[in-house]
Amino acid sequence: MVTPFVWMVSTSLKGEGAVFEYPPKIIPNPLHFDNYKQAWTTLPIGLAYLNSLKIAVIVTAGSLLTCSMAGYAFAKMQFVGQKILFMLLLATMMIPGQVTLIPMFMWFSKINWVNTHWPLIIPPVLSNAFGVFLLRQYMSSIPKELEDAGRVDGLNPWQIYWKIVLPNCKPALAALGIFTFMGNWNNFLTPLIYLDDQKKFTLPLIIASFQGLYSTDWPLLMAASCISLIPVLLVYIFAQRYFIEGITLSGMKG
Amino acid sequence: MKKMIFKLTFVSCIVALFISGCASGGSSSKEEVAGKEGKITLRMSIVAGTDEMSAWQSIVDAFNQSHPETEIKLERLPGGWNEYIQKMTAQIAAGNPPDIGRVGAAYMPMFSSKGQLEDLAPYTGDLKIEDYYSSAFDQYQQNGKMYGVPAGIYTMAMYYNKDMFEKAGIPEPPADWEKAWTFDDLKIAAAKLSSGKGANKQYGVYVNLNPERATQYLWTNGGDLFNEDKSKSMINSPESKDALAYLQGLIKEGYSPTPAETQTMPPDQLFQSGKLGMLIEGQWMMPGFSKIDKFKWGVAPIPMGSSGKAFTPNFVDAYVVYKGSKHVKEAAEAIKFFISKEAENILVDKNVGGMPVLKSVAESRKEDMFNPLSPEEKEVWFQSVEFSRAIPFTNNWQEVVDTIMKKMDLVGLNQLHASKAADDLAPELDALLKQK
Repeated sequence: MVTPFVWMVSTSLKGEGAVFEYPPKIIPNPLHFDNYKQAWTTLPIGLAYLNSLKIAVIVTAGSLLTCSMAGYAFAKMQFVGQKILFMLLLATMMIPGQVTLIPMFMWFSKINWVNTHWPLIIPPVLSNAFGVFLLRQYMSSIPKELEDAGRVDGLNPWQIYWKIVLPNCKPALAALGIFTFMGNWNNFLTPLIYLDDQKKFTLPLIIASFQGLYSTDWPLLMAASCISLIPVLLVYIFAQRYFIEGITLSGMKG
Repeated sequence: MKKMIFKLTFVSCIVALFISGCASGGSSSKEEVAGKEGKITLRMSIVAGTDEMSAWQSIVDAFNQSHPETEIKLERLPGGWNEYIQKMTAQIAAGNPPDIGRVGAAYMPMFSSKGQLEDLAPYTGDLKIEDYYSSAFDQYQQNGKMYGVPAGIYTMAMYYNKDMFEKAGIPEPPADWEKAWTFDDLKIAAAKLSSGKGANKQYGVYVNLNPERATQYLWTNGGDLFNEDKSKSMINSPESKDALAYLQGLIKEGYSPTPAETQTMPPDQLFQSGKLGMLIEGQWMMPGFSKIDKFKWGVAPIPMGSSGKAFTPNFVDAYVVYKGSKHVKEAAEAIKFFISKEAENILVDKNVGGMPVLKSVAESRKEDMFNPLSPEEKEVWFQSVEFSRAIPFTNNWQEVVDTIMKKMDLVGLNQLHASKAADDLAPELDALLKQK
């Protein structure tokens, strides 16, 4: 499981031509640290980093808010058409993203959102059916007695949501946060379709730019991949506990 | 309760502020376009390697300088053709495509059959066609229509490792396409060059069964992939079968790596590490191979089969104007500039884009092209254009390739006999050809 990672780091330090040497050397000699410098300067990776970070953070924060609110409504409130609405919501999960891609693009191009970051931010914040589902299931398992206690103390539904249900959902929120962050950080297809201007590119697009039509500069590509991996690694390290809980919670890997 | 609502409103306000703050930086492209009054702005969108971009930018800059009333904005897409096609399809569907594009030969039938390209024939009447290589222009001129203007010619030839040849006592193959090696010569050489086991394993030749890399073997043996008007497959003709069986033989004898082995070690890397004697590949390998310093290498014509005539496939990328462009005339003007002497010379300076389509540029710049080859070996590339044919691309080419490769992978792994594979494939390909 570690091998691809080791290969990536080791290749990122190799000179061109040494990549496919046989037998492979794990620690290349000489070490080419300048690959990193070159990767950083040939294409605007720094800018892409900021773009990716901005999109991933906003989408994560935003969808945690919207998903927890919707999840709360589905789990803890009674209203007309609740079941049907929930079924409809689940049904949207069955449609593969590729099917809606072009219609969505046509729609966004009508309101001139093409070549902006909006189409990468708004849809995932407002339509994260998986997140609603995950949080609704988790909230359903919070005992009703807790809410009742709150209600006896005079809390309204907003307060119950904010003070009782949300704090009890931390593991689920953390798991959803990680899923959302990773999904958006690694997203390739949507930014590819919407962004034209290299200055607006996200990291996966810039990394793909290291591949040519006929040849690939592996050391540079791997150096860029290593750079892009840092935030993901940090998220993993700091949120590992929640991440494992998240897997047991949803049966899904990120 | 009030405090709660206040808090929530506060949070959402901050989120909203954050979002709008970030977005204001993003939506400025429209204003830029409107800013330059009276000037027509064209969008040009291409895929290319990072090292190629300065060349494409230079010809665009040259155009912008000499045409003050028009401005081209060059956009580079990441990734390869697949990503490019996806993005163009979305933009054409939304009615907002770039004006100019560069499309790989394999994808041209798909775009033109769907009516996604503008016919450029009305604008290109003043081009002197006889100044250009006809093998490049012919494939895009059909029934008086012209959906693409050839951007550059790529052909294939045989790269070989001179040091390995010397060690095995094999004379260097002739550089003249008329006197190309025969299939037998290739087999004998491959046998002598193959040796060793495990880490020291050396291969004589690499046999690639992908139709985009193997159709020339069918041609030179008197066969073909499809018939003339692409209505029936010819892969099961005796000549085609012979050629395929010959190729399978090379793999069976262990002279060529199998498809499984090239999964872990790409053939061009194998050649660069000095473990492959001969590699039949395209001109596009030249920049990478020119960096080889461990051994001497050369270029020779692709060996010929029983017809006694050598062939190489050509891949002619095309400049196109996408349907929905509001400035077809100006875009066509720009494309004409891109194949003019000035622009072609810039591309040669930067060593990008394949052989120039303009004969005079190709001939006057021989010194600057295809280095570090010797003058005789450069002729292999220049001459190859005359011996080249276009691969019979169809509008469902990707499916055709997938269908063929399903069988050819088994052929390469020696799990299916080549002639049986050809018989199996013929009806499947016939069905695919009827689809269009």
